[in-house]
Amino acid sequence: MEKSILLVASQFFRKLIFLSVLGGLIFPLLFLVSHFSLQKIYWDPFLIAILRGAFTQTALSLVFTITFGFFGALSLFSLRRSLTEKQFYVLSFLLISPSFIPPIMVVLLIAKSLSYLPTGLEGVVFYHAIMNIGLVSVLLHRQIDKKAKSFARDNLVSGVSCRRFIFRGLLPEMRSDLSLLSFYFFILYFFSFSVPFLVGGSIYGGVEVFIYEKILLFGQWGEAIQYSFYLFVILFLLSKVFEKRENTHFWSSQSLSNYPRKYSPVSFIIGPLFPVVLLFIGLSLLFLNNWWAIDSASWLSLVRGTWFISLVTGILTFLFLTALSYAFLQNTIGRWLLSFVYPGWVILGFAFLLLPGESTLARMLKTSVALSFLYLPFVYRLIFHQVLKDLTFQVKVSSTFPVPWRKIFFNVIFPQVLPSIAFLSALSSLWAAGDFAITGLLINSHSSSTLAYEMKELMANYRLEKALMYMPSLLISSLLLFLLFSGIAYVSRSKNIS
Amino acid sequence: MNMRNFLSYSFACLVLVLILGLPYLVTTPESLHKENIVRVLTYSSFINKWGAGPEVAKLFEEKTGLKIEWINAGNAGLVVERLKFKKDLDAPDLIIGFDQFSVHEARKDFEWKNLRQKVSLDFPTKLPAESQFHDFIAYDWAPLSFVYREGEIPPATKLTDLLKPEYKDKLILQDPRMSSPGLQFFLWVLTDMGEMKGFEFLNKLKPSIKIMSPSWSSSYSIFKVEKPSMVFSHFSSPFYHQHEKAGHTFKSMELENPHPVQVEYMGVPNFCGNCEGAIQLAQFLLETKTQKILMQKNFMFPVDERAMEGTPFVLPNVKYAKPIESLSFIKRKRELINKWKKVFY
Repeated sequence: MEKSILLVASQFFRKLIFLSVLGGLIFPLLFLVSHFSLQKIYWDPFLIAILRGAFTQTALSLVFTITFGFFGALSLFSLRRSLTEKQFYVLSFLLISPSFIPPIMVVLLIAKSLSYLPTGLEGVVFYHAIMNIGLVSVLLHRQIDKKAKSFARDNLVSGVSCRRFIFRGLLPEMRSDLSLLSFYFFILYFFSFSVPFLVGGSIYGGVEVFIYEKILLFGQWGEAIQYSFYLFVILFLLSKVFEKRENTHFWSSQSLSNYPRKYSPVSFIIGPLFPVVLLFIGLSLLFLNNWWAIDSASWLSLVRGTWFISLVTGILTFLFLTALSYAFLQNTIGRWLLSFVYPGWVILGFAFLLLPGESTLARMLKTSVALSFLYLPFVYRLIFHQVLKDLTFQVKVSSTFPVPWRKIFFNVIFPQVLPSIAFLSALSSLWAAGDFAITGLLINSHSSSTLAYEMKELMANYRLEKALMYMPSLLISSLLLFLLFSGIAYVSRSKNIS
Repeated sequence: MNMRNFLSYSFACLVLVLILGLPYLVTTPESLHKENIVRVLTYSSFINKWGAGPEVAKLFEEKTGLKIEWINAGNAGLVVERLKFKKDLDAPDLIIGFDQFSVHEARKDFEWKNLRQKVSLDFPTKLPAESQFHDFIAYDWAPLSFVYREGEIPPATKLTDLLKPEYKDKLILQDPRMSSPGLQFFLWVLTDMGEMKGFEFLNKLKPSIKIMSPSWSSSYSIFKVEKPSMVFSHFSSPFYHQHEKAGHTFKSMELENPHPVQVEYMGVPNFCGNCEGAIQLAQFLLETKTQKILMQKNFMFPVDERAMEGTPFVLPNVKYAKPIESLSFIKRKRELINKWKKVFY
């Protein structure tokens, strides 16, 4: 009797934790909605055309990103063998870098290095793929590493060819991970704002512009929020399509050196490395032609602002993900988080603008909270839902023993999810470093500005070349932040007995 | 898992956050409605260190003893929206950075002081007639045109030239839904050609458009990287290049059609706290010396033409479209934007 009361209390507490995180995510929106009356039903006939364009560009972007990213992931195994752990972190960072550099910079640098600016559908697909192939490679590498090493070795022993291994073995095995990853990128591309709007033209200009125009051009917040709600419903229905089947997992404790070289040709790295090379060519071309002195006092303040906002965003993401892993409700109400997406940065930014707290520090903290709220559903979808789901069986077995939930969490769940939490916090922190939209809305003075925001401001004052001078600082700051968060997993793993 | 290492590492991260956050903690919150402070809400590029704001604030304080507290509204397009939500918290005395279109929006939601009665507009000006209002006062302006690099493409002499094959895929425009210059171009075409012919022209113009960018800044940046191309921008934009680098080839096209004009306004809301200080600042912004600063930082033409004397800033010899004509279209904004979508979707 006492045991069942404790069990119910523990479950209630976990649900409470989960609902606190979800409530935190929804609160700013409810706060904003409370300022408008939503009595009228709006319908814009152009929504259908916008959705059609968004679906087309999303589908194509997805195919290119996942395909090249998948082969890039395989090549990372070969490279990992020849690199130290720190070198591999740096390589991972470089591959991820196009995904967090402000999109306008990626567009400009690549246009410079190619001497060509692809536009329309081809432009959107090209830039989406360029920005995310590296991220997909790194993510899939992590998942394959966890699941398919021993499976790959068995295939090698049986003399299976590389082609057969990939198409008959690995791909079906990774079906659920690919499905979740595809869902993540589907949402990312479907709601993508900068790239479609910069190069897509009208039809492929993205759905978020449709919401933004209601606010910016007509001042119709109620209408914008209502369209956001429609999109949320569409997304929720789509999440059902992408809902995956369970995998048979091939867990392995073998070291990475056992992963067969035959199945991980180094040449596949060309896909994810290509965008990085283009970015560096573009950057060096612009650097060679222009050289501006950077004011060191202002540079230091910008680096400090970037570090503060990114670090706090990363830490908040870390805390939210830890809370979600403690709740461990991904198989029940946790699925709601899969479908959750914030309806546009403008709506989220204004919600936080209205929240109290006007001091510089309060505004900086509000910026970080807003950014962590914005990224949390993304990182959850990206791999975290799957990571938690993979532990279901182990947790079920542990729960049969008479041990409190706290012990199961600290001994079974947390040690296994910690590397993923650290990696996702690092990602969240990198994205925060590259943000200028929310930061621009909430930050009130130059002394609390960030590198990315300063770059955007310089561009608004004709000074593109000077803006590019801040790019190395942004990249180095981001690299250090990435290593800092990756370090959490590293130090906690040392002296670890698996 | 080695919990001790993990906790030490986490503690080190938190210490780092505290060290980084300390300078922001000691920054005192801004004070509302003090007699010696004028609170000014404006767009970010006006107040950053290469904008006009810091120098204006310094000179204004030297002259009047009044300090300026800048409130950063971020994007110029969001100034009115921000006022709707945060007028009590921001409590601005003066708002700088409206254009002809946002003035119209600002009047819908707020009441404004009759600034024209309070400040002197007694200076020679080339600002097109009907550009000054009773409640909003213009402090700088510029005709809009196409900026190009000499030698890359032949300059057009009239709007319809843009349909010629030599301009195929060369034109960088801004989206009228997101950008004020984009809306200017759209309304310019309708004003100049009439509504029906204007939409026909836009339809024919599609092959010439390389990109329709979300903002002026991104369009201008793309123009700087993408060659050959031309961008819809302020006529005064090449003065920036002249100011920064000798031997540039940036030029603005002088068309036969009357050019649209972008005017930047300031206004004092009725809810101002230090209204007297706000009016003093408005007057200060119209002084010749300050006008020169605005011109050299914003790269727009001053409303007081004396500020241009002895500088490379020269007004073009072109006709200007009457601002009032595009304002009649702005009242039908939603309907016209839907028609625009029919052309471009």
